[in-house]
Amino acid sequence: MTSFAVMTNTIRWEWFRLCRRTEFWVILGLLALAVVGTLVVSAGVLRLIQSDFFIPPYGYPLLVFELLSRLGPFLGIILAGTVFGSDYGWGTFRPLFARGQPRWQVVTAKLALAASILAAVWVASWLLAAAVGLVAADASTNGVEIMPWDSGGWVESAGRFASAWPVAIAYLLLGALLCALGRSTAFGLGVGIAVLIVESIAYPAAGAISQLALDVNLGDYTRWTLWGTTRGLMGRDDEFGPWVFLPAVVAYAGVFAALAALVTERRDVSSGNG
Amino acid sequence: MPAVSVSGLTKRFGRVTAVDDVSLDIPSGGVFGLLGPNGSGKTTLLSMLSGFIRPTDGTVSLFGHDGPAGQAQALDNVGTLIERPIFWPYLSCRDNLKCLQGVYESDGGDGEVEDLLDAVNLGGEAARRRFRACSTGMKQRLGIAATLLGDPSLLILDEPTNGLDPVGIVEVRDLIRDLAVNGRRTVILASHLLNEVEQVCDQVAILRRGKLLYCGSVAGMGAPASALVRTTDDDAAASVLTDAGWEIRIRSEDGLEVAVAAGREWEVSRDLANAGVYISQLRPSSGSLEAGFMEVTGEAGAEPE
Repeated sequence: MTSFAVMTNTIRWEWFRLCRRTEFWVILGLLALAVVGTLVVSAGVLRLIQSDFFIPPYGYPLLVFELLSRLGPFLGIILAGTVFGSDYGWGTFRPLFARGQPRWQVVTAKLALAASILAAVWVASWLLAAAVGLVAADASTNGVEIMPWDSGGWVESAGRFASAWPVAIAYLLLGALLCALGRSTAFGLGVGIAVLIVESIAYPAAGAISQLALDVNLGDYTRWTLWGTTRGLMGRDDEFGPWVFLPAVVAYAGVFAALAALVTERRDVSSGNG
Repeated sequence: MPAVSVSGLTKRFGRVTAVDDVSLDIPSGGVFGLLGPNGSGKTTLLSMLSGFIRPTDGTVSLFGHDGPAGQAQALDNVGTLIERPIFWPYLSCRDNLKCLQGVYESDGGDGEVEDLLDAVNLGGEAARRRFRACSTGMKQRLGIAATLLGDPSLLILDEPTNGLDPVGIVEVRDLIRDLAVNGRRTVILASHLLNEVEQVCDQVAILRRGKLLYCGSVAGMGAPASALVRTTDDDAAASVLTDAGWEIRIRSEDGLEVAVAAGREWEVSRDLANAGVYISQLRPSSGSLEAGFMEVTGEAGAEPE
């Protein structure tokens, strides 16, 4: 059997287990609620107040982008804990590796499945947002366009929407690495989310202080951190365009994935916490 | 070719040496017992055979396949149950086996899972129960069923009767015996139950503090046979037997324990009768594995693991 066939088989049985987990559907349900809520509130508010303002159809995906760009990293880390960390906690890497399956293939299959799920979430959200946009735009096309983002139409809107996906993947792989290092879901989730929160608070705060006190632009240094590159990729860097940051985000993701696979490959397989 | 061959196998966890330079060959076919007191390194040794733990030093060969790559290839034909049964807690017994059957790419067909569930008495309602809701005994039985997926040639079972009720213990013991019948499979059985090893195993290895103390036949490590003799006059009997050259091991209210090979008890009876001392009871006993175990480990009075 080729490596590809082994991987496909591993992904198939990963999905078999994942789709039977209540937590997984709860996470997706909450996310769906947030996406639908955002769209319904946005479209509904405009209609209710009978405003002369309107959002163009391609603007609706950008409303969802605002949501996913903030939730994506959290979703990535939680998914890493669900797909990858749980097997450390339960010790179920043992039955997975028991018949000599190459460990890197199992790890890669898990991460590929998680990345595919995120991709499915992105595609479904975009389609839903686009559909709502087309319907809502029909009702109000004569007012003043509200478009706080420089969207430039469907293509740019879709590109910006898509940029949040690699960001979620990078944090998914960071979560997987942390789960492997700590051999537990709790460690992966705890440290991963802490990193995310500390980065988003500490860097801007340090930047503001250094600018005021030392007249140093800390952004020049934090730009290439994980936080800086992912932020830049989503179009939030003042100096560079989004796609400049894609290679850096891919490099971060690659390093996290390689390290997670290496740690799993080299370490003894524990029997979990019982 | 031995099913398993290990050479100079060593595992250190920091300063602790769990397995210390163990070399042994486990022949193909039959049940091989692994005994040892607590912390003797049995589970670590089995984990290294199964590829879960990397050895610090030494080599493992499974069916002649050496090295990590060869071992991984050979593990395709090995079923393992080490420490405790490990499954996905939210899946049912049936789904757990079905999933592992798929992951292992077992060619046992659709009926394999149901057959295995029936073989370990987990058919019907029990098969639908989630693993987390199963009793210890059910989990143990599911663990044994999982080792049999794909009909492997080598089974590594670490205390498989843990948590089972007496009926379950007998059933599993019979199952293990059946699995190895006619040398069809090799079973490595680590057990804390000496009588279980005695009843099921053909060969046995004893570990203590990570070192291999004994490896050979079960019969070969038993204490010498003896007979418990009760007479009309134990004082006189002791004197007569000592004069006749018999070794009296223990003298108690129950009588005299005399070292005597199986089948030669009549000679004791003859010597006593010739001296006018008559036997009221003579009970032969074969050398027990327990006595042999205590002798080999030097832990007489200690609890075996």
